[in-house]
Amino acid sequence: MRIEDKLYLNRYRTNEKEPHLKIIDEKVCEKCEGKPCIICCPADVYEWDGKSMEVKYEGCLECGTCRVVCPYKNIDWNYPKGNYGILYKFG
Amino acid sequence: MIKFDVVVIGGGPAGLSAALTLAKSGMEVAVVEKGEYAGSKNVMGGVLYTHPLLEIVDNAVERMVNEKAVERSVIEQNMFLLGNGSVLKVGHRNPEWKNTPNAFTVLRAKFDQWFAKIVEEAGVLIITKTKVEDFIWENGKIKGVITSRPEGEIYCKAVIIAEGVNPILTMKAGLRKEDIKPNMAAVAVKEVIDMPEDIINTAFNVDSKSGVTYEILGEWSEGMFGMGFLYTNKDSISIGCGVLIEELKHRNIKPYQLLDNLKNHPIISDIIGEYKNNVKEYLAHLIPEGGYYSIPQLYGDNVLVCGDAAMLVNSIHREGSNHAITSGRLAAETLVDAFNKGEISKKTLKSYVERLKESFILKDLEKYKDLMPTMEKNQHFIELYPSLFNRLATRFLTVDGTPKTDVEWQIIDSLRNERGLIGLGMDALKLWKGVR
Repeated sequence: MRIEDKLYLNRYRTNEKEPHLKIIDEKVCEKCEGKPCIICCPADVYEWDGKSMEVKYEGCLECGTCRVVCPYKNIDWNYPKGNYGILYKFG
Repeated sequence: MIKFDVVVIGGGPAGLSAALTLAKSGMEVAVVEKGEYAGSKNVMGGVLYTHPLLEIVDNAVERMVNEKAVERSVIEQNMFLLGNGSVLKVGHRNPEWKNTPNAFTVLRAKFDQWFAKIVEEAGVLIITKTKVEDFIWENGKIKGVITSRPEGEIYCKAVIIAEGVNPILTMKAGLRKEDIKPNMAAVAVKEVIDMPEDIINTAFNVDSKSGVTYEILGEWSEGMFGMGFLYTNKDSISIGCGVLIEELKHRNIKPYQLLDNLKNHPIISDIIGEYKNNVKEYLAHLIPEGGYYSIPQLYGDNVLVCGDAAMLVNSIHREGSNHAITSGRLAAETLVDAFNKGEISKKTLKSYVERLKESFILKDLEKYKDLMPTMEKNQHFIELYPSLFNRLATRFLTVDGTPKTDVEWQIIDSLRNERGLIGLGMDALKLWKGVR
């Protein structure tokens, strides 16, 4: 099963106006060698296109791994505003 | 101005337990929960021990079962060491646990909503869909919380932080100087897989009320320090795995690939069979693994921290929610005493730490404080032993005409070649020192 298909099973309420994850400085990502956020994120939120870091926050499971693993503390990580983000049906 | 005696941040087991204990002492309590309902953001593997709930909820077991808050009573627990295509098992089954349940498998969205209902019945206001953004400070002391709602300030005499593993507000309260580090948490992923009730009953040899648990070490983790699990729910199974972030970040493997490894291992694949792809939900969460050394400052003026936010998890025994419920109760009892004394300050809240030290929580965390670092530093425990022990078991149990004395020497030779008898002894000693 592809990860996209798995994420599709989940229930989310996306805050279109306000992403809850932001890259603070893209130049820092450019220098970052391992880009461990990409490896460690269980929802494939992060994607490097060679120039910038795409953050697909809509599929975020709010675990916090990216924030913990970022060697440069370059992710402005917040939980989504109340009632937004992942809403587990089973948990 | 909205005012409560106590605001509890987070509607998980720790926060709800704290709120219930406070309300029973007649305090005015609000729980602020960012999810749509309590449990909507909460994840665990799925084993909930009954003992801490018995102390705060009357007829807890009967209510949980009758009101369908829990899945199955765990009557059998297994440890699997996965080798290359094989397994070495250790397990214990005790049907007496049917009559006096020790633990239940749970799905948190269901369980937390049930717990929240009990807490509401005790008079607590649970404010859902609302996130605490920051604290209201006056003269260096916390006087309330600022929420995501318009004009969402809530004033109070004390705050209990039960925000979970990501210590965002614990840091804002000044109780943790730095964020958690990659060696202090495991990233765990899990799938809830649809499986008909009668199929589960047959496959795991249980009735509809009883369930089994597997903790799974070995082949799936690609040499990384991690734990897999498979638990039976009523009509689904929870399967997942967690590895330390510190280990994962050096390897080019995604967390969900490790879960696929686990699901595709022939032994596990045989169990879940055709239901493998009947995934209902895919979840991820951090598990505190730092243990004793990662605990933050647990109290300040007008504030206490409990549950995962306090890193109170015994990962060796996969216990966390019982620490959460008990630490929430102890934090609340500390506050009640402080209110009675008429002084809520560092001085009166300090006894929270003493209470934790007198309980199983800090006793257990202290006991195991050096075990995780030992396991992490000694790759043999994960890379070598699961596969070695599987090969030895196969050799020992394969009857092919080799005299037993020769089989024994072959086994001793394998141990000598692959680890060395002194190394083996050293590892056993380290393990013993870690758990004694």
